[in-house]
Amino acid sequence: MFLNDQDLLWRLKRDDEIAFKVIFNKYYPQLYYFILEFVPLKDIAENIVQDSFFTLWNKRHELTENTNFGAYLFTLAKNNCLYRIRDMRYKKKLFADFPIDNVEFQTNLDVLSSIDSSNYTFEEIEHIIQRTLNELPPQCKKVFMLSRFEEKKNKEIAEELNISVKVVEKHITKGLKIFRIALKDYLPLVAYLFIENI
Amino acid sequence: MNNLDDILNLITNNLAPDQKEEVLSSIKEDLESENLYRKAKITWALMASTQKMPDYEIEKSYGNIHARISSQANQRSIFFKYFKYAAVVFAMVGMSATMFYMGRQNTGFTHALKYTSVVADKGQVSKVILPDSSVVWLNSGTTLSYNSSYSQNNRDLSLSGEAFLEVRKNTQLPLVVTSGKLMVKVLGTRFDVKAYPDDKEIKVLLESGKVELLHTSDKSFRYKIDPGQMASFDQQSNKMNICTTNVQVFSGWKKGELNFVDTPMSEVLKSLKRKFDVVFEVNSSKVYRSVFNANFKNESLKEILDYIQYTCQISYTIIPEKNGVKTKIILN
Repeated sequence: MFLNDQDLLWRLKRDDEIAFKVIFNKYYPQLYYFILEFVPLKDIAENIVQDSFFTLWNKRHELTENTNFGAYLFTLAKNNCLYRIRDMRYKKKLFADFPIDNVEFQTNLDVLSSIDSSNYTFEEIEHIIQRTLNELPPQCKKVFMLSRFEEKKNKEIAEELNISVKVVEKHITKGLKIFRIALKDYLPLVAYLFIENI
Repeated sequence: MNNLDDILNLITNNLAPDQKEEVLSSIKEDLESENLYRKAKITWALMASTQKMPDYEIEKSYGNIHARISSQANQRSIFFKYFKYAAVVFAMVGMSATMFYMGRQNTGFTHALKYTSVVADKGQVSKVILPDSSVVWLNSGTTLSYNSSYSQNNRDLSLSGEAFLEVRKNTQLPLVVTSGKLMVKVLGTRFDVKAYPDDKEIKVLLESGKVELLHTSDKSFRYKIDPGQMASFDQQSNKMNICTTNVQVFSGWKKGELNFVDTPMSEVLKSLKRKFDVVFEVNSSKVYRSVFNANFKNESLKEILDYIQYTCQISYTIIPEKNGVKTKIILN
């Protein structure tokens, strides 16, 4: 079965659970892996993203035409992170149970709040990333794949590819700059003229 | 900027805890660093979002959310539940009556022509060459009929089931495939029509060339699709839906493949039933809640069932064929 977002919306509004499942399959992994970067606990990230889908189902009759499911779900997840986790009692419990770095966590929530989630089109993002990855110089791509998708440390990558850690860092700096330019539409604007000297 | 490497090392998780703290506090002090961190962090996270998640993990999470939704829905009235079933039965009666009526009408027009039917039994895919040299692949459980004047003064085909057609070009004599209320009119092209009697929708997928979609009784109904597009025609509502799709996935059956992309379990079972000529008994409505993604080439039925069991948490029991009674598979 091949359904576009418009069909899915139509079916969802008519309580079609299959449509809901299709939306879930499509967006759950993306949102989960994204949120996990900001909330470094699997259980919490899972809960937050699942809550977004729960809300989507409960509000299915109120959805407007041309709803961008990705942006809608992402906005819910983002707000969930910001308002629920910022709750002091919740946070206390969180830090008591898990050893996470409060400063880093707070910094990351600030970053998350600066994202304009309303224009997020995950299909396009995926497309840009795939394209950009394929355009990187081969060695740079290799380093990136190991660092990002296999979660390897720079030291491990250096050993594996028989290069120095400095060179690994260089590749990552270079690659990330290319990615930031490619993804500029999805990154927050800065309030003043930002001169990049890298 | 001196701490660029530090910031990126922080994002890529390459700093020791004490270094981390230092870099984090430097970010707070310098706007430029903060901006860089922001952008790089989001970029890094966006890349993470493109990772593939194993099917069983998606299913597990869906299980959680499904449980929440159903515990909420159980509080609704029982009346609604029965009303829904009544509506389905009503719609089915209406549909078969229409089909019977049209069937009668057709015989009135065509009694002078003799018909040839080609059938692909369940469990079979067959390839047929028609009198005009067009080639047709028939999927399991499909019947294709044409009349004695085919390729002389008409190229009319009638289809029940699924067929992939490679139509010989003849601009004088368009080829028309009729399935239910839908007519597909072509001059020369490659396309797939899926119209099993137990399907609610008729699907037409175009691989190359051009096709026109018409209605048996509604003259104003006229659609065209381009290569790579699929038209879904809802037989009950007469609603037409056109979308872009993957041709390979749709017509893999010609090579004996089974391809499922976000396919509801009800459809998956129909395909398996046709391909392996077995009967399914579904003992839990939970079975129908699954959406299935997989590609099979030469896998046995058992291997496919094992995979479904694994990814969709559906257990199965096989009761082998006996005294001419088909193999039955019980799902829970």
